[in-house]
Amino acid sequence: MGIEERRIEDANLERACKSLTPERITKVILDVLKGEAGAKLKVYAETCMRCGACAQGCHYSLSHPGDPSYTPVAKLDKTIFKMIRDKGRISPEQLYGMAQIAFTECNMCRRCSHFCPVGIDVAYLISMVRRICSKLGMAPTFIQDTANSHSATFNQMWVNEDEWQDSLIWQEEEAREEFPGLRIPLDVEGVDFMYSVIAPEPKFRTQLIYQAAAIFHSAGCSWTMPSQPGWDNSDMCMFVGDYEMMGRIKRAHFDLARKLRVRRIVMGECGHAFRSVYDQGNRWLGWRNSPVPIVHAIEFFWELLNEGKIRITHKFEEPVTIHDPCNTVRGRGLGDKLREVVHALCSNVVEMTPNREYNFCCAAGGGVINCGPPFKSVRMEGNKCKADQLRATGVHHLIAPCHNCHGGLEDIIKHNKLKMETLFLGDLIYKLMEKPE
Amino acid sequence: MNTLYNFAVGPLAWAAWGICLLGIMWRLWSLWRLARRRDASSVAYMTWGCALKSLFRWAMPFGALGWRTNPLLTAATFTLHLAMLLAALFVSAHNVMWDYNFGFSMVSLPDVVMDVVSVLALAACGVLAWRRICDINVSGVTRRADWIGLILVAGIFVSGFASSHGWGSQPFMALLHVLLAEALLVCLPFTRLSHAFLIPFTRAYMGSEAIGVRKTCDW
Amino acid sequence: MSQQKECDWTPGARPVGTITPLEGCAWQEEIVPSPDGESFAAVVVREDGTSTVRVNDRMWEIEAEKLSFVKYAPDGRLSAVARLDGEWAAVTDDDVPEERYAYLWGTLFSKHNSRIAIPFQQDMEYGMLLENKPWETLYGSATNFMISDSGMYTCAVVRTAQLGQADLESFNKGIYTVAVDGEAWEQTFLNAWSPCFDAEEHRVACTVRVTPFEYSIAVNGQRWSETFACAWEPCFDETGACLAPVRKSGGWGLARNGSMLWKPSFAECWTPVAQGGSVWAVVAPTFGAFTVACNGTPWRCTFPVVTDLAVSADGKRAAALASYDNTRFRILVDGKAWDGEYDMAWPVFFSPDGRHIAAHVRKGGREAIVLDGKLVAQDLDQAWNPVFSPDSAALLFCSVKGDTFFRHVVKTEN
Repeated sequence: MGIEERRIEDANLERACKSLTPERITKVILDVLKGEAGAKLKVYAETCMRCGACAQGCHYSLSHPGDPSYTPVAKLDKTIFKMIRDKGRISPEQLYGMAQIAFTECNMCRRCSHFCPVGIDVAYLISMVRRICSKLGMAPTFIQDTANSHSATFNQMWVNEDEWQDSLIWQEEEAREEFPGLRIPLDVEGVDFMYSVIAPEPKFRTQLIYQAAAIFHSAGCSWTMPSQPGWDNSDMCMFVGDYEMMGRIKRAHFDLARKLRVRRIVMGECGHAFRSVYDQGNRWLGWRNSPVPIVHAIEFFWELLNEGKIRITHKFEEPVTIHDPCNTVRGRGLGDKLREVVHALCSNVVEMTPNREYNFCCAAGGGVINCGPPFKSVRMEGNKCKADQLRATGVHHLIAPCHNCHGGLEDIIKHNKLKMETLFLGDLIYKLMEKPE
Repeated sequence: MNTLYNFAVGPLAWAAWGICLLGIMWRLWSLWRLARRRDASSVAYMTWGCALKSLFRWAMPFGALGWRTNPLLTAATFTLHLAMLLAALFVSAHNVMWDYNFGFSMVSLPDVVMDVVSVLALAACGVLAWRRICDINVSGVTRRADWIGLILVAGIFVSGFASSHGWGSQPFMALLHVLLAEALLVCLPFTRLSHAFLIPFTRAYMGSEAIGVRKTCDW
Repeated sequence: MSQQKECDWTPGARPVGTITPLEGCAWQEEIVPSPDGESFAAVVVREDGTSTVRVNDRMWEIEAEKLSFVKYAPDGRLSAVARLDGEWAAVTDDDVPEERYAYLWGTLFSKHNSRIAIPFQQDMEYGMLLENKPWETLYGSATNFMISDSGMYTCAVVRTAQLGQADLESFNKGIYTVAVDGEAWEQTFLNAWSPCFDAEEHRVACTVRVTPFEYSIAVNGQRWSETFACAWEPCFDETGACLAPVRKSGGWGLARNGSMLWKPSFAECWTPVAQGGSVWAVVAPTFGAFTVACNGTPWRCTFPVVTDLAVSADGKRAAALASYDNTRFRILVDGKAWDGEYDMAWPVFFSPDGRHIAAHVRKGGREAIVLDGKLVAQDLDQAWNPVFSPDSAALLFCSVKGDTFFRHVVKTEN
């Protein structure tokens, strides 16, 4: 038990471990603890009563019964609290373990905060650890690469400007065969909303762009997409603790919407992007709220269905269950609207237990899946309780309105041989909605 | 011994209370200043309504999921804290002192009731201590700082109970009780015991974020 | 507008044409007005599926697979990028050159001389066209494309070395820099953003990331010796000094040639403009409260969001837009908010003499033009950004009402 016994090799963590000196580590830790962190950190470190109530809240902890090193308090004790206790005197090897804990054994899902009598924001504390590790160059290779991509291209997948536009034109032409006259309008000013997506969509999930365009076309929406960099609403910089870069890419995202004079931004089915755009990114930039209102796809589909702009031909008959993405349900209270949408589309909905804001994380979020293949087993073993939860529903269709959740849940399904298919809300709406003859 | 006792309930008590109250004020002021400087983007979202909702839910035994999923912890925590409140305010021996020194006091609960309260408090301390030693989710993260409060509180109840029942030598037991209580007062602003005045703020913040920003709950 | 002198500034409103789709069109895309207001254009898709451009009531002859970035240059030339047989061409006024590229996009026009620059990709290498002449040296990646005010130069942020998949080592060496007319600076950085030219167009400044958490400004490749926790876009003042908002000790201020000019006491500071000896920027004196600052002194009025800073030519006046949740827009001028709250507002413009201010706004689904705080046209289906005459005596703007495209000129006095 303990991170030392489960060290996983990662090229960038190894490289940093070899090149760092204890003096440099101490300096950076103290710079952050004393020079950046404020009352929150101080108070949390002091008032965490080490009561262990959070153990019941964490999927990692519940999936490793008998191993207390996975509880939120243990993770904090081994990382940020230790940094404070030891006044930053941490060896490179110890820092490696801390990075592995912070980046891959915590999804920053905030479920544990529902269990903490004190109200400790564990996600915030883990984020501080990630920031310290990032400042020391110690972030896992693959997530660091996505953060690098954000800095250079303002999207997480190294998509060049022409590639982005080309994929939109391509999807427009494909969709036009099914929906004559369909457009994916680029850079149109003054419309109702700018639709924003995450970078994997133009790269790997172009059918989601197709589907969204089809839905908006059918609903008669007044919309546009931006041609310029900043179109990607995702934010791995937030998850490596690089707040400066988070601010830069979020500013670009908001600036695109502002310059297009759209009324709001509607974003696709992603969770962390939502958190970055309405909660963290705007704050770092000095805005109390998003300068342009953000509407998640869950809410937007709810709006379209409620206003009768989308009519469905029939309901999905097979039993389905609902996964509540952390950042949209626990993170934004969209659990009810999600259910209203699902019930409007499906005739047989089986709730998993627990659900809504108490649902278990998919273990992919918080940047964990972005740390790449070396840490896949951490997610699989760290979310047995999710597998049990899914299995207990007895259904074969799992609705998860979040890209990262799809990645995480599909891995869990495959690993545990669960025979379930994951669906986006857009998949269902596209399948069920009235289409032109 | 009597001289020592008089000193303990006289100047030392003033000093202990003074350190406690001034310490709390200083801590709150310095943390507030720090929060304004470094946590502006968190403080901006704190609202009274959300804060009170969260505090109210968590102030109820089993009112929050965290309490319900940890019943032993919940029972021990509420028992101990309620006992401390009752003992501090409604023990007749305390009220005699208040009345003697300041001319006013609270109403006193019957001694037998306070005896039961003390025993329950000690049982709660026992449960919490057991958790710290035997619950693997707790023992691994327990350090010296986590024992200070528990030992002091347990010691205060033991010495208070003993003193009120004439056990052990007097006024040694009473003196011990007073000194332990004063140690607790002095430690309160500067140790883990500060949770007494800081938890309202952490709860207020978490409640404000969860209810006000995230449109959900934090319980 | 380069052709402002030849423009008709006679006050009045006159119809230019109807915008209903012409015969033979399956659909028509968004209307784009010309700078002089005498014409309008739109991409139309014919019934046979080919794309062309409609200008007033006639259509270009081109039969493209796709047309994008249809925009008027300041001198009135109509520019577009067209896909023909799977490749892209930069078309001007229906004149299709022979050169083809794998992709073209993001057309830019210079402020003066109306020169056209277009980023391009060919064989997975990137560069820019300037009046159809491509850079000689191309790069594996390019972003942040710019054209200088005179139109004589172009620049972009380019990647100067190969980057493999998850290649942190190469990235950490610093392989990004600025290329001016295709020639990259010798110095490279971890990242570079927001290049801008100075007034003489001999120097380019940009924000650079020196190490993952250290930022600075580089001018012609030479970076300031000071580094900061973060930095936004730079600009030059009339003396040639380079200014940029920078973050230090947890707050934002303004640096000039590397030294602090404004103390880092703001919660935010960006979009600096140096004009007429004054320096303006949008700032947040405290979290969540934005305003405009002149030489470090913020206006008294604050709002949740303040954007689109505009400064008069003499640098003495400034205007901006304030909003709440992207609505309830107010026009701020010289520290005060005009009466009038709008659902949406576009950037504010100063007349050349700095005495007048105009803006395009929308309320209740209807668009309008505001001049010096008063509505000069309203209840329009659509309007476009107004333009002042060179002598500041008149304001030109275009509108659509019903199916008619109108051209309006109003006198700025009275």
